[in-house]
Amino acid sequence: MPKVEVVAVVKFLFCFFIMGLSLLAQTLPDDELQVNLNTYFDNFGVAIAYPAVSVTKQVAPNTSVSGRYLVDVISAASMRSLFKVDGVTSASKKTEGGDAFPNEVRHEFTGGITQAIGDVRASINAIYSTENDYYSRTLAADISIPFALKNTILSFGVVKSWDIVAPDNRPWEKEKNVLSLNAGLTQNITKSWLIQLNLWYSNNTGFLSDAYQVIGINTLGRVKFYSPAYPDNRDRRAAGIRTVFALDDISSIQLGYRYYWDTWDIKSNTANILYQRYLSENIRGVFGWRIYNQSKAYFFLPEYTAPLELMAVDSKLNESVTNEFEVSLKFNSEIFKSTPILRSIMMETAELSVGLNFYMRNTVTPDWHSRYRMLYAYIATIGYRYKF
Amino acid sequence: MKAKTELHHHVINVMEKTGMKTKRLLLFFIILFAASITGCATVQPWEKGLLGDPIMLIDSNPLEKGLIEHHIDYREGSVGGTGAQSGGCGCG
Repeated sequence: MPKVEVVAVVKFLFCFFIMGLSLLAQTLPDDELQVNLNTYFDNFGVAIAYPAVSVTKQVAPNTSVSGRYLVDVISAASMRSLFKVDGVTSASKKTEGGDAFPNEVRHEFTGGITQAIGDVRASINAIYSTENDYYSRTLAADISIPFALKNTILSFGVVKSWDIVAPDNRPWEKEKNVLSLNAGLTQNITKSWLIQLNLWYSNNTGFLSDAYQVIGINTLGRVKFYSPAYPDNRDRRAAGIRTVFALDDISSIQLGYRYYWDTWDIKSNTANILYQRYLSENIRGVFGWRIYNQSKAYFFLPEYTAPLELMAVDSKLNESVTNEFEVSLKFNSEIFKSTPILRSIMMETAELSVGLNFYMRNTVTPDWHSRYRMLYAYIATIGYRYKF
Repeated sequence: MKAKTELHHHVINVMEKTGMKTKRLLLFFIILFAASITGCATVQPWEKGLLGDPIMLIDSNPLEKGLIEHHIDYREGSVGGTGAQSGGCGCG
């Protein structure tokens, strides 16, 4: 990462933070401990477990700090590609053990500080992610400014990432840089209805391809393998609107729509609906449906008959339609008062959540690796949240 | 007629090149948003009880939501526009 660029970004974030201090804040985030365990399984043979723990603590009247540690443990039964790397997840390098043992472990550390003065809240977060073939350093800053008796909240965010891609099967290391900007506006319409608008822009440069995927081209009866070749620049934009309104005192509906478009010619539409309801005094149910479609990247082809300057076979760059269903239940501590073990960890302000998502992605042509058109995935989650 | 068609294509090209599509989309959202908030009464602090309830929060637990949506980044070609932000990673 160029030193001059780092200094410039640090200076910018510092000024951004000071600007937050100098303006007149919303309340700080609650002091809390969160422990989450999520798992992912799909029909492509990929299994991922990603536990995370995070803590937020107010350290001064207007200052709060936070930290998070996340591990991605990827075990891919589809480790059959030419480079002995999973082509779906890019998981690589077995750490130890046999075929059933995790193929890759990623560690992510996040540290942040939030400052509130008056009605403005500003925060800065630093994220470091490391795995055997990829390193990422990220700085993120955001500020939110409320107006009109806090009925209108304007927010801005900036994220800068410096990544190093170091594939196991290549002698080189390459850089990837991402700069993202976000602006949001949240408006309370009535005492039971609010609406939010989000605009997002991201510039990605450097090595944006996948070093572990391969493209087989049949030439005169012999198959020759090539690496995918992506453009080294991508401008991405998205605009989204979300609204939530109460149906009565115990239930609400959230509706959302997002349009996305980028310089790789991918355009997508995402719509979602979320219904939340208190099933009893101590149980909240969340039921959601998300539908998504996208066009393909202009350099994507399902099959190649000759090598081209730009080539891609990754299904996420293909034309596709996705449906995702979500069911989750959130229990407060009252319900566990007579449960022997949970009673001791479910303090008065604790919440336990369990959830299951079912994800279906249908691409117009088969996946380059699994040869399936339909991807089915199950995401199971369990979370513990304690406000202290 | 041919000249008219060419002009039509030319206008479309110019619009696309100058980001007119983007501007139109932004305009649409701004108008939609303005229409939504026009005429809405100011919600007084003592009337915000329901707005503060977990069922009314757009992201009641951003950390949990981010983790649940973690897989989407690697299975779809688009991200952003939902208010969430995250760092880079090359994981599957």
